[in-house]
Amino acid sequence: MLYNYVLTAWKVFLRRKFFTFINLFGISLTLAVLMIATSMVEGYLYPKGPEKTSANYKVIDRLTLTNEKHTSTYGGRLGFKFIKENIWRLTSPELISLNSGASSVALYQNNQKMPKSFRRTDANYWKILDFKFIEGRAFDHGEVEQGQFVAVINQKLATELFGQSSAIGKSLDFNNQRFQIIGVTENVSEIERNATADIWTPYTTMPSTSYQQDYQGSWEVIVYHSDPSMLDEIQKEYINMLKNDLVLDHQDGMSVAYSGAFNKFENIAYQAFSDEYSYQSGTKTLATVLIVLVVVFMLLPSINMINLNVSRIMERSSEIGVRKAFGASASQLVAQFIVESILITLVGGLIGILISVFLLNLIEQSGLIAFAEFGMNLRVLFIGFVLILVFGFISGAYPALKMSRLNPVSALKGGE
Amino acid sequence: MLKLSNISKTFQTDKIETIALSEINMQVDKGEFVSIMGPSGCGKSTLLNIMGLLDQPTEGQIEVDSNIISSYKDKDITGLRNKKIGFIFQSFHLIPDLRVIDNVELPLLYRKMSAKQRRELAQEALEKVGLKARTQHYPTQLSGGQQQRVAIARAIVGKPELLLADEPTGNLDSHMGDEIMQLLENLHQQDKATIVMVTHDEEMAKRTERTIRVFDGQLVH
Repeated sequence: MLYNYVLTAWKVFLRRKFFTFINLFGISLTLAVLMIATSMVEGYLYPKGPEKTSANYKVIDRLTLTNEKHTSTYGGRLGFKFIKENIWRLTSPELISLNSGASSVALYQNNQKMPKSFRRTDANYWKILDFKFIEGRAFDHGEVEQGQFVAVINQKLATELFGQSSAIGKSLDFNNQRFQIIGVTENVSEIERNATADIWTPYTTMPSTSYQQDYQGSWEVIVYHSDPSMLDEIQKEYINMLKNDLVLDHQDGMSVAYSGAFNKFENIAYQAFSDEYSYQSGTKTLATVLIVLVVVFMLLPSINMINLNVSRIMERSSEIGVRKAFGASASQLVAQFIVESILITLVGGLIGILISVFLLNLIEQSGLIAFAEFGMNLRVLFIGFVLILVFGFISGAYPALKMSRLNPVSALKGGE
Repeated sequence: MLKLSNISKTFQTDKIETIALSEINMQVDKGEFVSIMGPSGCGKSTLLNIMGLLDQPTEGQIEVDSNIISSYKDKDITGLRNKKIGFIFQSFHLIPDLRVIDNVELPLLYRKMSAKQRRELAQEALEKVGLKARTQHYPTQLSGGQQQRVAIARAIVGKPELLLADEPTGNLDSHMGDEIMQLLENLHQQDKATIVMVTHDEEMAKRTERTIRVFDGQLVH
């Protein structure tokens, strides 16, 4: 039976080449866009580089300082003093790390200016994030405490500066400081925004100590626990501290702080939807918006396909009439048309997957996002496959129902 | 075999009610070859559709092979149509996307039957209508007469009790029409098929055993 449905479907597709083309075009393009989006979100939520430990940590990189009446407000990243006086008092994280965020610096080689991204951090940073070292090592607590001028650089920079020879022990000059290179790591995708940089040095090598007096700044904090279920406890402890036990001796009289420890998904939600006077990330809103977007996005080509399918009822009414006259039940006809619809979406879906693999490769190679690696994995493919089936089903079901309800006499006459 | 009691059919459009059939009583016995004649618009096709359970009468009762039809719900009549009745249409109604053999197999798709068995029965039916050599062709590659013979093979493949033919020669020239008529006569004589045929051709009607005349929705005796 199924074989016959497939056979008929195949013949119909071949006969109506233009119709089939339009259908396939719509489906494959829609799915390609969805797959690319999924793959990018996937790349962000489930990083493959140093941030692959992201299930075990949350990031605190947003801070709103204000007064009771909200007449004066600061919103941005964290100041060192805020971290020292508050976040370092948290007891639930196993590890707390801070870093200056990535800033750009200019390196000079043969009078050529090379803009590079640069991050100052501590020793815990290397314990929490899973960097692969090509050679050398990361800096340790002792080196950070003593403010040693040591640096870790990435592979690309090492090759640019020293070619094939080892970078370890060589010196690196920028911002009027000289660092000794002690380690070379793999290149990190820009998607991994807490890990990516070209140069890392101990935060204690700051040229001035004035940063220690600021509640506002460019710092971000990573709080880590080996048991992922403890991360919510950390968030609770942090919010509780902000509400009840805040240390904030701000010169402008700001006495209230809003912040939160967020995982990757919460972070997107916070950036998109949360208001600055809130401890919540707004994940529910984000999830809802994402689902609505995907549905709307899939609905448009579905409606198009439904429309095309319905308009074909007239054309195939004779077939429907004959099948009914010879004993096809309504449910058998519905099954037939749904199989047809799923079949065409399956073909379109496969084309869509190929298109998206091709485009993702193109994006990776374009360097639009440095060192990005998207690629298809089973999870993305599975999501794609589910999308295809849902798509095929919705666009097949309504026309199928309508077709199967045709009265056989009028179907044989031409479907009036 | 087939019994119609007090069958009436009215078509309701916006304002007008058209009476297509009124108080029809008739019977077709097993093995009979009956023709239904009448001018166009007299209701003869509607009568045939009602016999074939394609259309529901407004009033009256119909009995097919001692099954009294009490419900026209999909699940109640599709099985009956599939097993008891074979249709032959004026304009053949073959599915253009399917090969001859697949067209003939179509009624068997809706039965529990293996693919091999279906293929055998379809070959057999095509042999009976003299088209054994054309199984792999598509309908459009055949002449009108050949197409109608494929349609007849499709109608008999499931060995139904009753064949209903709606002007089977209406779209064919006299030569081809004659061939088709001979084929139906053979089926009737050799296979003892029960056939009801609608026609407006007096010559064709004469070749059947009995002619029922319809005028203005009523039987004329």
